[in-house]
Amino acid sequence: MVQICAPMVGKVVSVDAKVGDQVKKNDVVVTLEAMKMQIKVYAPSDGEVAEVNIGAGDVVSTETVLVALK
Amino acid sequence: MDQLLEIFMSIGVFSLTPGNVAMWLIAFVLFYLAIKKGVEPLLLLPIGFGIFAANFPLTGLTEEGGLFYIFYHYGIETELIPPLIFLGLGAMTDFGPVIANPKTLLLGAAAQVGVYGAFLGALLMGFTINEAATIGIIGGADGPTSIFLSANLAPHMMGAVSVAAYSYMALVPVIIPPIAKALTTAKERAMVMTQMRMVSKTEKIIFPVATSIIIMLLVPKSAPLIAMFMLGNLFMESGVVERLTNTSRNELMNIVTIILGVAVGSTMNAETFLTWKTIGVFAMGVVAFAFATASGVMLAKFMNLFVKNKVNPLIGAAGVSAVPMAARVVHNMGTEANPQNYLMMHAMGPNVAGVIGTAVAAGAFIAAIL
Repeated sequence: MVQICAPMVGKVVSVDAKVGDQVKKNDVVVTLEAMKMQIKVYAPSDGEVAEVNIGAGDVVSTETVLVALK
Repeated sequence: MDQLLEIFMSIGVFSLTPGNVAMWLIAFVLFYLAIKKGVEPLLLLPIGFGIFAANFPLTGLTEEGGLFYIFYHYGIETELIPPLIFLGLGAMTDFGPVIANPKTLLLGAAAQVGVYGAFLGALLMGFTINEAATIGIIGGADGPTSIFLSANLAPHMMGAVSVAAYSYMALVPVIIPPIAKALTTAKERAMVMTQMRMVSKTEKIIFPVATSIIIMLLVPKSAPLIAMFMLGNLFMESGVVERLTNTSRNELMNIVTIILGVAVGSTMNAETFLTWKTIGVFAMGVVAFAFATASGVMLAKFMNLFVKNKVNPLIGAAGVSAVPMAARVVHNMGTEANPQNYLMMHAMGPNVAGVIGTAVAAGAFIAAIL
């Protein structure tokens, strides 16, 4: 299981992957907004999306697990 | 008959000079940049209109007692507005990244080398020492500080200096990448930095107070800017005066920005602006900016020779203030080299440290020159 945490405090703009999706390393899984800038969060490895814990509009911190891959 | 002639001559159109029209054209360029290109519209629009309106004959706007004179005299000459803007900036600035990684303060300081580099360059070009200092500060990429310093040292150059400072700030995404790229390898840019530690609320409250003590003791002349900057920050971090925090960073900031912009614009007339000195200001301004970027990156690389927790040298480039645009540019460069690389918060450290650094550099110039 690979947990993807938010790299910084921010607001979720969009979730770009859903449970069951196959993602490759460096695919965009979530887009955050912080400092008036959109920050894309990329998958650290290949895998299948096992959980999506957030939705658009959520405020997340560096402890929030956004998405988990298996 | 004489009376009739007098009325006739009081119509502005007969006193219009080619210089006036030339200044209108400059104002129109600023309108275009602000409206069409989205270049710092909050500042360039009021500055542009200030230039435009001040360059009509017989209006008396900029003469003693005139409206723009009042804006300028009470807002800028008395050095009232730039510190008020710093109050609002303080209430928006999160010093967390600096507290978590105090090394980044040094990177913010390194960028000030650009300020002094351009200062020397301008001296060599034949500017007076006051003018050269004002030009050098453009390298700090901080509008209110540039205006503050030119009000102190070279009021006749304020218009050119502030327009140069704000234009170059908008050009951060164009100026930083080639310089930062030339000085780093792809491997260095791809380097992922260790996750920052969490910063406690107590630390964030102590920071503005402790910083005030250190800086105002060392560089007393930077006090107007630093004191207000830290007050705004204390408002925000204390969490007990939300109304004051919000007023500082929203309403008050917006009100003074309007007056500041118009007042700065109104200082620009053909006699003081359409000179070779303005060209010098713009030329040396970009040199200052480039030097600042380069020295930040170089210091970061130098620091890496000694420290255990290495920093990605790109974040040194964020030491030119231009908050948070410089940090954003750095973040994008980092992600481009390695998608797993999130430099945003790391770059905010040198970025906000750069604001403090530039204010200190301005204070040091005032202390040394006046």
